[in-house]
Amino acid sequence: MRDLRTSFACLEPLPAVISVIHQTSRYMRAPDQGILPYTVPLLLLALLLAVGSREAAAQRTTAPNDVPEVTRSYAIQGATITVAPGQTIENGTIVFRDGVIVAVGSNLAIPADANVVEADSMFVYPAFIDGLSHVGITEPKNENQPRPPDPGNPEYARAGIQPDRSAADLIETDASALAKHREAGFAVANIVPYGRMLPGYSAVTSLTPAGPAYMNPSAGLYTKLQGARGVYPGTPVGVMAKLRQLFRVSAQHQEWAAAYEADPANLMHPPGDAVLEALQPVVKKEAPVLFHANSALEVQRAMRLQDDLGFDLVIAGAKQAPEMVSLLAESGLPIIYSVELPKEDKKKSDADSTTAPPSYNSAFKSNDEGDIEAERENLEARRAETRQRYMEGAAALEKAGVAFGFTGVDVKTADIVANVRKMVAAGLSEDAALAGLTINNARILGIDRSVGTLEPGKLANIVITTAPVFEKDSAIRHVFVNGHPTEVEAKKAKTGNGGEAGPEAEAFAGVWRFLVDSPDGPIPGRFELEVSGGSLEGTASSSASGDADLQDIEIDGDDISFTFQTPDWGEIRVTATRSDDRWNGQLNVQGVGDIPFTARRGPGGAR
Amino acid sequence: MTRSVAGLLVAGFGFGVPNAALSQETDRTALTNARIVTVEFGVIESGVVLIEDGRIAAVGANVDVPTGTTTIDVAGHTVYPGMVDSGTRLGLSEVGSDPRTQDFRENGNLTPHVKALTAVNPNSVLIPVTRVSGVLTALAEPTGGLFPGTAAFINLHGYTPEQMYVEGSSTMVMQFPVTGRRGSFDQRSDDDIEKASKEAMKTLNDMWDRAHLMARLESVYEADPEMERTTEYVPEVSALVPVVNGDMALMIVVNRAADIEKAIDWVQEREVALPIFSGCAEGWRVASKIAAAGIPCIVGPVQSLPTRASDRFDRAYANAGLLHKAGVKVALRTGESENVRNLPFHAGFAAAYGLGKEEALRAVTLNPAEIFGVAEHIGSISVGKLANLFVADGDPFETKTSIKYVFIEGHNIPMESRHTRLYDEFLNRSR
Repeated sequence: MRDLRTSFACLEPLPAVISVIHQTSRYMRAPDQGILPYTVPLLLLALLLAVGSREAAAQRTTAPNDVPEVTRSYAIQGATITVAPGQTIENGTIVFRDGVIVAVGSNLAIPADANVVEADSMFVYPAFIDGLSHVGITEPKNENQPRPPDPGNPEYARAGIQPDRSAADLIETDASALAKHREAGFAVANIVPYGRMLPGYSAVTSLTPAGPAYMNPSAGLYTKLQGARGVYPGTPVGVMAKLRQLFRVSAQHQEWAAAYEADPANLMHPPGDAVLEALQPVVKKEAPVLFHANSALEVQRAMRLQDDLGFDLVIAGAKQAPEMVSLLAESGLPIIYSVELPKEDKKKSDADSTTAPPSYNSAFKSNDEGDIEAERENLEARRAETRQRYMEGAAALEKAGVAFGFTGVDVKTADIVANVRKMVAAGLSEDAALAGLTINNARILGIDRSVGTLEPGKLANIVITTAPVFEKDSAIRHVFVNGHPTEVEAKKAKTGNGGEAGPEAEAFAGVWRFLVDSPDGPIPGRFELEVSGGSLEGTASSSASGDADLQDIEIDGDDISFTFQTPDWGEIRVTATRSDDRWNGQLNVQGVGDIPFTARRGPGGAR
Repeated sequence: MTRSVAGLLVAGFGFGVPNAALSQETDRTALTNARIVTVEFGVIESGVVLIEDGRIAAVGANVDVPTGTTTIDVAGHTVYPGMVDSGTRLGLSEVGSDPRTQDFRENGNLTPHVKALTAVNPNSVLIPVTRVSGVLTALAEPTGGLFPGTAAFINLHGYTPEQMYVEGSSTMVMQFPVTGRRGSFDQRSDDDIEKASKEAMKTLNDMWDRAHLMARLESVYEADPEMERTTEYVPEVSALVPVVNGDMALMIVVNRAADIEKAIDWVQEREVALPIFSGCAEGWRVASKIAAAGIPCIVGPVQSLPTRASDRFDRAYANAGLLHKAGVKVALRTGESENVRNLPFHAGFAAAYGLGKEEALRAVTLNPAEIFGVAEHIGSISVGKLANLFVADGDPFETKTSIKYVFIEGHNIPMESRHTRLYDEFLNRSR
């Protein structure tokens, strides 16, 4: 029995455990034994198997690679180094120590203690900065809060007034989203909380492998013209009025506090009000207002508020920039421009691309017979033109002399650089594109002394790519954040077609409905797959999984495999074979095993 | 009455056995009229072993015993070098079911800077139980993640771990990644298994590369002391530097045939200077490959079942013999804590199933000493080595043989243990 306990304690590999059972049962099988001696070993076996499988599960969940860094001295050599937009060194070397760039140039001596990264035929850029992001913060669920007794005068938090918060308090330090952002080339992000009118201060953060390292935990006051639900202020006018009120009361509050501090006689002490105090840096122009304004109307309202209240204003979003290029240019305001682009026109790409698209005729009038086809074509031409104008929005801003930065807040992490690439294809200069991802954001966020370019003295925030970054098949291989390396594994070619999604991937695009015979009864759900940025992406949704992004999607002919995370079952691995509009395959659930399932193309699934 | 109360106290506290009240009057002892199995230089049918200052001063048929020497006439008995168990938890584990007494497993995957020696409990009740059976030296080895720490040989007598430590025996332990399915309970898909094994190998290789980098950096800073250092304090990598520099052995725990083959490739690819395989449960399947690679094997436990249900019943018993026949240098381990005392019977099984008596004795004496690079201190009865030896009335691999005397570093160890105390107590119980 003592042997058995030892095995429990040390979890030896199974053969040893089984040997114990055999021995135990051998000892127990005395000639005069009854039934009991058989059952005891069986029970023990069941118990041990349970222990064994738990062990296997525990080993799967250990961190994949926790090998520590040995030195902070690095040299990257043999690469084409873009020190700053428009400033390139061929076959250059960059040396950094203790997280700070020591030297950049060609023919540099490499320190004897340097960990050398051979980057022949690779391309080195300053790592990117995301001008505005929610990365690492979980979006709160929309809960229907009860209507307060006095909806005209709600509590601050109920009204969405939370300047006393900082994103720094809300970021989950081990969020995989942070790692994804880093692997997409981002070393720094200006992270803002979710919320309504005043969600809180943004945190400018280095995305180091060890977690976020704050450069400025209250960089700017994140502000939106989004009203609260069911309470004041519920509309943009209400929000504007409330903002004016808050700013002025805060200023007053400050005067009161100052007077009381100078001489408390004859004065009531100022009531402690965390919200009014939290607004002080903005009122005193020590921190800017990061105004999330997408439409021209919102931008103009933000400008109006600035006129009235005199704060420092940064416009973030500005999705409607193509409609207000001159407005933005003349305002001279710092702009953090959203990289969201209009969805690709699938119909157009299907059609014969050699025929020039018809141009929009604004004077078109449908004739009396109601020529619907001609009217439709004309409207589609209009849509195509608008789409094109928005694709060229960044280029138009550049032409008008706006030094904007980029924000990926409206798109998936993987699409940020891909969309900038499309903007370059639509006429944005590569230098402006890189500046938008790096130095312009650094200037807007006030961190250009330490990041944004690869000049000596700045932080070693570096991206290494396999091809010039705005070329289509460029992939990121290494990202250094504050001199800490992250190696990005080369993704398997999805279709063996140079990173370009081929017909095989296209055949999987669409909505697939499935029914899984789980031990808890049948679970219906669906996978939605689409080709985006040259690769297949998708989500899984079911009652068991919620909505989850599909990861590690791999296609080989008609075979597909991917994984997704579920709250109750951990990682689920799916392997399936497609035949026309059906899938046959299995879901592998940890601790449960393979569960067969079929899926068929659902409505809206036809390409 | 008094006696039984004292007995209860001893039983209650557990640690009541004195750790060898030293009994020799002078620091010179001679065992005379002895049959001496030296292991290294054959058998002397009747001779003298002279012990002085803890070491063997003279061995032979004709040895002048100086006056003032404590002389023990062991006529009819045989003197053997102390047996060595090359893989135990002795001193690291006291009560199997009590986690508070389990010190052999640290949490985490990469803890090569952890030293098993520091955790050894010199007062372990299991130590006297073990040494009175003739097992006088044991490798205290940590287990756990990929690099669970350093193992060290301890002589089974001393008041501190340092006193017990066999000089120069520190060995890095590495658990070679288990790459296949772990058994029928292992429900992972083939992809997951491959992914996990890839990740494990990557961690291993990254760690090895880091250790090489650290070794290079250390030599750079040594060459140029003026240079400003940027090296981080990374004890887990620093601990591996002596291994990559070839100053410390690397004991690779590996059992399955496929993993052993992979480990051989890895050792050759990475040019590991002093590799040792431990476990080797399926070593017999790939014995010729291990022999060709010239890697010594610590085999055991011998008394266990075959790894596969389809194997012959005696594979674990025959493993050591088959490896030896293929030309592999073999030592034995029990992997035990309270039953390290059974090492001679493990060796007996190995001897009976193909290893042969003489080689089996080597596998628990001289071979481990040579494999772990401590042959100047232990492993045989030869002049200059530590006086670790025992006197038996027969073949120690036989259960009927009784051990008469045990000497560790020259100390005549009392033949007392928790077992003898319990025996005495219950022999004389009053009711």
